[in-house]
Amino acid sequence: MQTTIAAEYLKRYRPEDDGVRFMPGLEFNLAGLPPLPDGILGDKVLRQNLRTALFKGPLTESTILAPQHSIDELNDIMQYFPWNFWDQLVLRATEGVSGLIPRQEYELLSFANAWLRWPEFMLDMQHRVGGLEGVVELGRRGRVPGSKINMLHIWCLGICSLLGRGVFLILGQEKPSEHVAELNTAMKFWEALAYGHRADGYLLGSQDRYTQRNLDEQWATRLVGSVDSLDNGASDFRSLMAAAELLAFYVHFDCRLGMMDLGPYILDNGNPVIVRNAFLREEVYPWAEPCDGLPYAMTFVLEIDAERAAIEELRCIDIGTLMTKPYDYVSGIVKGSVWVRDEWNSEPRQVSVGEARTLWYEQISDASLRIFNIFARTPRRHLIEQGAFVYCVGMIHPFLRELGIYDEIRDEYRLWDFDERVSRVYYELDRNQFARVTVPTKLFDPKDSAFALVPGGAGLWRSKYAYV
Amino acid sequence: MSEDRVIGTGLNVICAAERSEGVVRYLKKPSDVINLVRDGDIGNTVVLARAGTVTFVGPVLSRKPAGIITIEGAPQSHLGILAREFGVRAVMSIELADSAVERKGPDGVTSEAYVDYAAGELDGKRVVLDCSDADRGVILAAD
Repeated sequence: MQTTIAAEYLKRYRPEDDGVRFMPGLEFNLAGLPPLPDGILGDKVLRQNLRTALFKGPLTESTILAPQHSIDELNDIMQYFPWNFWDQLVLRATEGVSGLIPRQEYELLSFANAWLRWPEFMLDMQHRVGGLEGVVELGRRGRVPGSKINMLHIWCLGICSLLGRGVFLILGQEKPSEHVAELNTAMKFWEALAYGHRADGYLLGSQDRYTQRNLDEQWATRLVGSVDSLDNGASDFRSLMAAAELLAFYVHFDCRLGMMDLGPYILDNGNPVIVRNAFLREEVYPWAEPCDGLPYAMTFVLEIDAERAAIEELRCIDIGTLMTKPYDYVSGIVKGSVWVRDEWNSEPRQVSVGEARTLWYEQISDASLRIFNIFARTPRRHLIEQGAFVYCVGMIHPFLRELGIYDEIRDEYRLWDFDERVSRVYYELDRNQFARVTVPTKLFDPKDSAFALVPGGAGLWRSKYAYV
Repeated sequence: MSEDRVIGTGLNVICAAERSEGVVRYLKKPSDVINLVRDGDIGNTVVLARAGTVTFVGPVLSRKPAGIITIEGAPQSHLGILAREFGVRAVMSIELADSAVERKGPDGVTSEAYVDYAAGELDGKRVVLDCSDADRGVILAAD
C-alpha cells in the first residue's frame, strides 16, 4: 500500500487509534465488566477485562483444534459475544414492528430451536470431516465471492446458540450450569469455521478494526481490479444493487442472511473497495419460487471516494453490512463492477452493469413484489414458523450443502421441524410483548442477563438428559 | 424556511439540496402497499409507514415515491441504505411539532397511541420534505 492521501478513515487502522463512536453516550453494561462503548475502543476495553487469551489476539491452530474449552474460555465467549452483538445492534438501531413479517417473534422461536438442535448437527458434520481440522477447512472453502459459507452465517451459528440458551434461561427452563457440553460443541464449531474463513487468527471482525477481508488473495485481486468508472451509469448501478439487496431480504424473510459485505480492500489512492454479495435464489425456500431463473448470487464491487464521502470510520460488521460515519457512503461510490454466480457452486463471472440490468432488473423487481404478495397472504403463525426456519435451517444449510449431506440431515433428523420443547413455549414467546419488550430488556440486563456465565464448579461434560 | 410551517422533524437519510413534495399516504397493512403499487400515483406520494423495516415498503421504494416518512427506525437501517441507493428522500423516527401524545408507552417502546396520532396528523396532507441538512430532515406543510 503506497498511500499518500490522508483519508481520515485510514487513521482507524493505526494500532494506537481508538476509533470514533457511532453512537456517542451509549454504553454496554454486563455484570463484572466496566461500561463499554461501541467500536474499536469498546473492543480494547473489553479485551483487557477478559480472563483468557481467546479474544486477546490472533489465535493459533492448536488453540482452535483443542477439543475442550475451559470454563473461563466459555465465560469469555459469554462476555465478548454479547458486546459484539450489542455493538452491531446499536448500529442497526431499532427498526420497530415490520407490519409484514413478525420478525422478533420468529427470531426467538428459531434461537430456541437452534439451541436444542444444532449441536447434534455440528457434531455430525465435525465427525464426517475428520474433526475440528476439517471444520477449519470447511470455513476456508467460503473464501470466494457469492458464498454463503461466510462470516454472517458463521457468526450466526455462534451467537444464535447463545441466544437460544438465553431464551431458556429467561423462561426459567434452564440453569447456567446445564448444557455445558452442548455449549462447548457449538462454540468450538463456530470458532473452527471462523478461524478457517477469516484466515487472520481472529474470530470476529470487531477484534480487527471491523475488517472482513475474507476472500482468497487471487479473488480479492481479481475483484478489486475489475472496478470501472461508472460515469453516467452510477444511478443504474446503485438501483440495480438496491433491487438485488431488496430481493435478498424478501428471499430471506426480512433478515440479512441474503447479504454479505466484505472488505475494505484499500487502494493505492486511499479509497476503500467493498465487495457486496446479494443472494437472490435459494431452492430450499418454497416462497422463493419467483426467483427461479435468476443468478444464485450477484456480487457488486464498489470503490468509494473516501474524501468525497468524508468517511471518518468504515466498519464491515460481522452481520454482513457496511456501516460508515457519516452514514451516507452511497453518494461516494465512483467505480463499480458486477459479478454473478449462476449456481451456488459455479464459477463467479463478471458481467457489465448494462447487461446485468437488461437481463435481470425487471425480474428482480417482479420477484420482490411477488414474494411480498405471498407474505401478505400468509397467516401470521405460518410467517413466524417459516421465518424461524430461515434462521435455524438457513443458517446451517450452507455447511450441510457443502458437505453433500443436506438431504440426509433434512430427512434423517427432521431438520425442518421444531423440538417439542420449542413448540410448547410458542405461545409464551408470542404473547405479552415477550419478543419485543421482555427479551430485549433481559438480554442486556446486568443483573438478569440471558448471557449468564457458566458457574465455576459446573461439569464440562454436563448436558441435560431429563426435563424434570 | 421561516415562512413554512414545520409539521415535524426526524433523522435525515439522504442529503439533497432540492426539496420534494407529495401527498402523504399512510400504509398500515400490506394490502395498503399493494393497493398503492397497483393504482396509486407513487411519484407524487409521500409514503408514511410505522417501521423502518425495508421489506414492508420495499415494493414502493423501488418505484420511486416522492418520499418516505417512518415513525420508527434509523438511517443506518437497511431501509435507510436502500433509500439512498434508490435515491429516495426519507425522514425517519419523526417527532411531530406540538405533539399531544407521548411517543413512548410505559413499556419503553413507541406506543400505539403515538402511531395512531402521527398517522392521523399526516395522512392525506400535502407536504414538502426538506432534506438539505445532513442529519435532520424536516416535514413542512405544502399549503
